[in-house]
Amino acid sequence: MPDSPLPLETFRAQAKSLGLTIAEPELLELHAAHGDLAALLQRIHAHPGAAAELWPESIVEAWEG
Amino acid sequence: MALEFPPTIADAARDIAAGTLSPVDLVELCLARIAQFDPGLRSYLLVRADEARREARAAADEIRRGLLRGKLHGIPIALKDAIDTAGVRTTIGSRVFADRVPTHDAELVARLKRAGAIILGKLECHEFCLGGPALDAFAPPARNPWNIEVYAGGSSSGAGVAIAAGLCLGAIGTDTGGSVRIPAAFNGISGHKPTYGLVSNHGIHPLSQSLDHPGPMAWTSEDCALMLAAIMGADPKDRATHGVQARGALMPLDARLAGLRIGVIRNFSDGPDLGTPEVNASLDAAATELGGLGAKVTTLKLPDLWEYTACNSVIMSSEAFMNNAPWLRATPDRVSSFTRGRMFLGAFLRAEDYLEAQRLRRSLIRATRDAMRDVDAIICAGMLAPPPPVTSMQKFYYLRRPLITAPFNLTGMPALSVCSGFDSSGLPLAIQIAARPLDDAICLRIGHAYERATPWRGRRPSL
Repeated sequence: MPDSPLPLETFRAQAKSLGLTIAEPELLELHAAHGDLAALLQRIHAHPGAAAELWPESIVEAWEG
Repeated sequence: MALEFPPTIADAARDIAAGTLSPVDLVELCLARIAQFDPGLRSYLLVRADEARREARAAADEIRRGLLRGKLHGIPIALKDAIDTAGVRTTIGSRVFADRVPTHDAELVARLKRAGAIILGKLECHEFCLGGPALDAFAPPARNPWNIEVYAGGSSSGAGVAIAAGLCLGAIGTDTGGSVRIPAAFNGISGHKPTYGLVSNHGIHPLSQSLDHPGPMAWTSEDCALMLAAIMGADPKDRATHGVQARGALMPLDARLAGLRIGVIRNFSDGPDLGTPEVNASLDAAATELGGLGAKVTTLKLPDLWEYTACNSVIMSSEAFMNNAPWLRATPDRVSSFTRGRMFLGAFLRAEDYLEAQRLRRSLIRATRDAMRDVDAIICAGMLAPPPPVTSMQKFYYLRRPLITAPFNLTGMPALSVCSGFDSSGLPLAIQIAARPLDDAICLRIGHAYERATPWRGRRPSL
């Protein structure tokens, strides 16, 4: 299981700042899952060519689509 | 009445039109089966028994007077409890909305009613269409009629169970990462996720707007087509439906496959930590069957399943938290542990993550489109493994295994799950049939031909 990029204390502080109320066992579980999420994000950020894709594709699509 | 098990919608519609079957008898049959079997299966959260009886009598009267509205007239259909029904409690599977009674029907419900369908009740779903199967949820998970110890799939769990057990003839579910097709696969039924925007989402609780697809679930692909024909079409209240029109007629379904080009996607399921041998053998057998029916079958490679899964999970988690943040922050103790964990995870995603995922999504759509240049449709496995024991499900399993239904939410392609046999323990196997956006009729046609040529529709769970 990959580690979260955030140390536990930082993760805890961030959860608090986000307004999330989490009991300690669930916080630990969520912190572990954050590592899995980070592994998925690595796939997304590392994808060649993806950064060249615009979203939305054009102002016409955004305005009239 | 001689019927012991509900007929398919197509058969019931034929008999109703011929005057040999009454909607009143059909509704009574379903209600009797619900009373007998649903206490053990828990697929319904609410049954509209009296209202359904009254509506069935009205439908029978209308039909007797020669006012048959179409093939859904007098057919009992049930709805996932994330779909609004005017005056009927709609909970989205959550204590937060335990007493919520919408004042308006979802657009697709209004269309079903106009077609003469009888809304039999509301079906169990994972909390907010995400948090299941949670044993501490407002509604405990519906139980798989093939083996009540294993997961029935989700989030449209009640719909999958009710169809397989013969507790209604058709159902509507919603699908954001596979929530129509996973319960369809695990319950041995047919479930169709339409092209994105083909069916209005208006009046349905949003999980992830850019990935949500309402879709029909039934015993056969033909029945899915009958329901889809009634609910699809532009809706001014849902901009995603604008300009989205299915190509080709949905009904009657052509069962001939000669000349159709089908690509088999093996790289989604054939590899380390992907599909089981039985899953891959079932896919190969289905490909052979379709070839025997006249289709030109070739092997096709699509991008890595993990790419689609990562993208789908990040977009879904971001949008899901945004949609549900008010009650998650205010009353976290009123939602299940599964829901809380999965939803809270989305709060930790950054704008950068979400936007990069949407950009990669566009790349994957282009790669999928290019790979499909020389085929009309593709098939792949329905699920990678049989359903696990329901008590063994982990809260974050979906981050640790690729999800074979996700590519078609991400790309907006129509995708149909059909039963493709049974594994060595007697649990259903499935394949998915997908096509380019708007080619829903091609998916349903292939599913229909396949179901007619194989024996799987003749086997029901023993209750």
